[in-house]
Amino acid sequence: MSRNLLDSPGAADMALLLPELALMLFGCLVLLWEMARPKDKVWPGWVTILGHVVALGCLVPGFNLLGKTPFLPDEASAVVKFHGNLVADGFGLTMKGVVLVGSMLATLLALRYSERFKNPGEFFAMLLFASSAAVLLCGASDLLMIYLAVEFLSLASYVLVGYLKFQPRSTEAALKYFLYGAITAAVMLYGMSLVYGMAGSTNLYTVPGEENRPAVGGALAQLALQYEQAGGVVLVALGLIAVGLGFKSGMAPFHQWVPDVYDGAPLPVMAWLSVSSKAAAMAVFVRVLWVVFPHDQWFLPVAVLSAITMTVGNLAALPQTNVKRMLAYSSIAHAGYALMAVAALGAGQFNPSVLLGPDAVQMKPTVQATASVWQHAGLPVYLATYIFMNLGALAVVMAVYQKTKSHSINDYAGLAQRAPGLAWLMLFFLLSLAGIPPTAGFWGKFVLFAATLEAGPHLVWLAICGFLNSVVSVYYYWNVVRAMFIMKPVSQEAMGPTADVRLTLAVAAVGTIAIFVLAGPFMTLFNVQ
Amino acid sequence: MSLEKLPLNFLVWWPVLAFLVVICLPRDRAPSHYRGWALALSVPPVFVSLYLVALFAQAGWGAKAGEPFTVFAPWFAVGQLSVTYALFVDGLSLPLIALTTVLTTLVILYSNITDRAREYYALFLLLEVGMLGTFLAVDFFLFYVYWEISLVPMYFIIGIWGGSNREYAAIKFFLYTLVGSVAMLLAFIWIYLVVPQKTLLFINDIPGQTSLLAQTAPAVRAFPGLALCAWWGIFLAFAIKVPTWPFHTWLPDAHTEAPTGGSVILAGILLKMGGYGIFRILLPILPEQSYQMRYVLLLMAVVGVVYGAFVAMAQQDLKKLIAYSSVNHMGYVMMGIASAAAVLYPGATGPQIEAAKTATAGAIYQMFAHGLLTSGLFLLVGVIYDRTHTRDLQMFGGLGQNLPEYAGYFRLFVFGSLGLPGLAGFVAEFLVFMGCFSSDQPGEGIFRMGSVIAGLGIVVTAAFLLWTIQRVLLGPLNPRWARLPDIELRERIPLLVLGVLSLVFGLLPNLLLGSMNSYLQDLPTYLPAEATRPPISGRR
Repeated sequence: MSRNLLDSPGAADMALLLPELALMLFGCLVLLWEMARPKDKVWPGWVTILGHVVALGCLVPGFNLLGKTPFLPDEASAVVKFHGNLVADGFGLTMKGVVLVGSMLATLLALRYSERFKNPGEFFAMLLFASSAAVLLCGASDLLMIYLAVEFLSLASYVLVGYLKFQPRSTEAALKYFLYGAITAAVMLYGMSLVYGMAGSTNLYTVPGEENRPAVGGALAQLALQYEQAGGVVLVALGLIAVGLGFKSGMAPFHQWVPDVYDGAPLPVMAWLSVSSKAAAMAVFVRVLWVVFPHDQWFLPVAVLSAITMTVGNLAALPQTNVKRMLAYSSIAHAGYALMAVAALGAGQFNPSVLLGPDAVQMKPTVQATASVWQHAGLPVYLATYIFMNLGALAVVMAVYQKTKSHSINDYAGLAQRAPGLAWLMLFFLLSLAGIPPTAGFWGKFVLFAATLEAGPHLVWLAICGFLNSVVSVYYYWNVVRAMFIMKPVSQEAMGPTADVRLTLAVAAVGTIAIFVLAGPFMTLFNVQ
Repeated sequence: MSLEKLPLNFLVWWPVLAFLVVICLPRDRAPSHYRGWALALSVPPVFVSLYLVALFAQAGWGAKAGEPFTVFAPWFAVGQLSVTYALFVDGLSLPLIALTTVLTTLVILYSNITDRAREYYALFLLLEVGMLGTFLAVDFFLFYVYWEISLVPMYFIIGIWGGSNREYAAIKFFLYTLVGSVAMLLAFIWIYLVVPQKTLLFINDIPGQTSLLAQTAPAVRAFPGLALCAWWGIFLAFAIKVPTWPFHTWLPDAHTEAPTGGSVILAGILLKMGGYGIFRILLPILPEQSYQMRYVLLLMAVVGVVYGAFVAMAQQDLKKLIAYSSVNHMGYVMMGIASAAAVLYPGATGPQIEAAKTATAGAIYQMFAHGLLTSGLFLLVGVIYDRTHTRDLQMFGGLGQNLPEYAGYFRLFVFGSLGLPGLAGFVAEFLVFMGCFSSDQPGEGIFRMGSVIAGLGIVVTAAFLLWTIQRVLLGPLNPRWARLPDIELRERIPLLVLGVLSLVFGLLPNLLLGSMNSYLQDLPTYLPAEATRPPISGRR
């Protein structure tokens, strides 16, 4: 396959921006639609979904052009455009796909939810802009571009979080998110300025035609060779950048905003934040780590961060009595699990043949051939499984809220008798979140554990930490199961979900079971065969 | 799909269908309606499993790798990992499969739940999916799926229809078992990563497929520490399920709080999944580590036997007493496991291997016999609890006078449980002790000593069981129970079937021992390269 389309100068470069442009265009379309037909409450949502489908379609040519390359944000496989500001590579495109699917399903959840807004078109337009920012972030390859994309993403998210503007909790959540976000963005910018100061460049990759100007990673490596002290400053910069991106992806210790914001935000926005926003932030986190900093320096801090994040998330979820807050803390824990894959990615590259003992030389070819299958796919695969199970759980939460007007776990009492279908589906999604088969979540955990153990003996502790955490998580998921199945119902009134929630539930349930049953074809989406 | 493959596929998929049918029945029917459906749907697997037994007998009890006993299809492949849909039966799993189908039917027949009956019966059918799948699947991925599927229905059965402390017991059961299974998952992923031929099959008998069996032991030698961790990870899952001392603490709670049907299935089948897993997976895959840990296994077994017996003796609650007697009885299974582990070293001599085979046969026999006898005991507890609403042993006494039939069954199962010759329990205990006693390496005497100490457990078991008979059936009749009705038909059929089976298998042990040979003959071949016999190729 030729690279003509992307290589031809000028307007053809815009092909790279097609998904973002499509989302923007549909955002404007939705705004205009609302202006033209203000009474129309349902169509903006469907147009938004169409926008996401089109954007997903725009990713296909990119995949075709890149062919079967390993999914790494590597210099070698990167197609750098726009003077180094944007990049097309398998890793970025995959994460864009994850962002878009997550965003599309969150829209599905918002179809009827948005009827409570005065002007739902505006909401959907904002969702499209936010998605466009998240997609942009996945492909950003210049520190400044990353900063701008993060800010774009943040601003759109603040508005979305505060969209229930007459509810104090929503407004409070938006303000909290904004204040926290402003500070961490400033810290991140400071880290970036340190990198720029040392490297004299903000480009993550070498720009075509400007090969004499080194990219950030190379410049820092040279600097480290010249000055011993440079390593310390690099670490400080790494830490400062991690603050900003860690905040966006909800990692401990920058996670305190998550429960409040998720709880206050409209439910579809919570779904969107917990998948799309998080996936974009993690994508750019991995890219920066991978390209800028030496692998042997970051994999261990990331592993520690992963362990802390999942432990904090799970322990804090234990005493929750509000299902939305419980799922918010669980989403922190899942960010921690996803980070396992990132740590494994770094550790595996740092020492790819570490699995080989001194006496096992004859096994070398086999082990090396597979050495990175799980690690390459770990992060996007895990996030993709999380999309469906998380969305499913939130759809049940929404259906229950429609009837009980409550997010309290106690109000799930006897759901198995009042709405058996909802209860069994919730059980299925919670099993998936806990990583118990036959569900997508089990496959996600399988991939994560395989990636982590494959990285060698020095990450076995992280795998064990993940194992203990997944047991702890069952305890609080089971609070809901206990309420639904064991506790006596407060009333016998049946409560079926409305049609739109049924659609969302069906999509989520089919996704959750299909990823498990068709794990093979599913993995080929991530270039793993 | 060829007709030959039908029986095994049927056993795995029919209960799924049955579960879906029952859970989708209309909501507002009488409980007996759901019971009738569940009963009818649970009968076909019984016949299919008996048909499999007949086929197995026809093939000379030792058939291997034949079409009706093996189903194999690729499921998916990722990287070099190929996950397969592989089902298989041999002499180790076939008795347990037949026991599962029969007990499920009997339990549904026995149950008279009125509250949320539809879900109750549906969950038993879902449980059957997990149990049969666990005994049939021989690809670890598939095995793990079924292993976990069996967890959830039992959680609900205990949690919804259990006793007063049911929620605590249910979540304790669930979390305990889950800790073990996730540890096992981790261990298995590690094993998959280190073996040269990427597979998750743990059976040699799938034609044309490599398995983990011969390649794991040499591959993990490079990492002795991690290999031992992996052994403990897998062992933890099975040891909790067995349960062996000191991982047994969930059992008294779960067994006592569960409704009668739940207790029967828990004791009859779910506990056997642990022993089955050790024999099927742990010993064959990690023989060297098992050998290293043989004395630890023996210690757990002996402590389990003696401690279980003493704690059972101290119980005032009849159901708890039987629960602890399960700890004691599962100790015998662990003795057989320890004996089998003791010969997994290169220099094992002929007599020692024979002794280990004897003990292994005894352990498998014990799993089966315990499934019959303890199930019967739990049914009897249920019968008396339904009538008196108490399980306090001090409240009973003299029931033999006005409940003659009940007393007859009670004596039968209690005597069977304490190992009276002529009933199934005796054969098992005899074989276990005989084998374990001489499982020592030449010049050592630890297994001999362990057997002698465990013999003390037998005495205590006999003592507390006889005392139980005395406290329940003999002595002056509590006037409150003067008008208790005797056993009715719904209760009689399961008790009769179980009683007859324990008598048959007590008098004709060859029925079961013959089929076991197909498993036992492999025992010494688990060792890698330097083993006494060439591993896979020599046998086929």
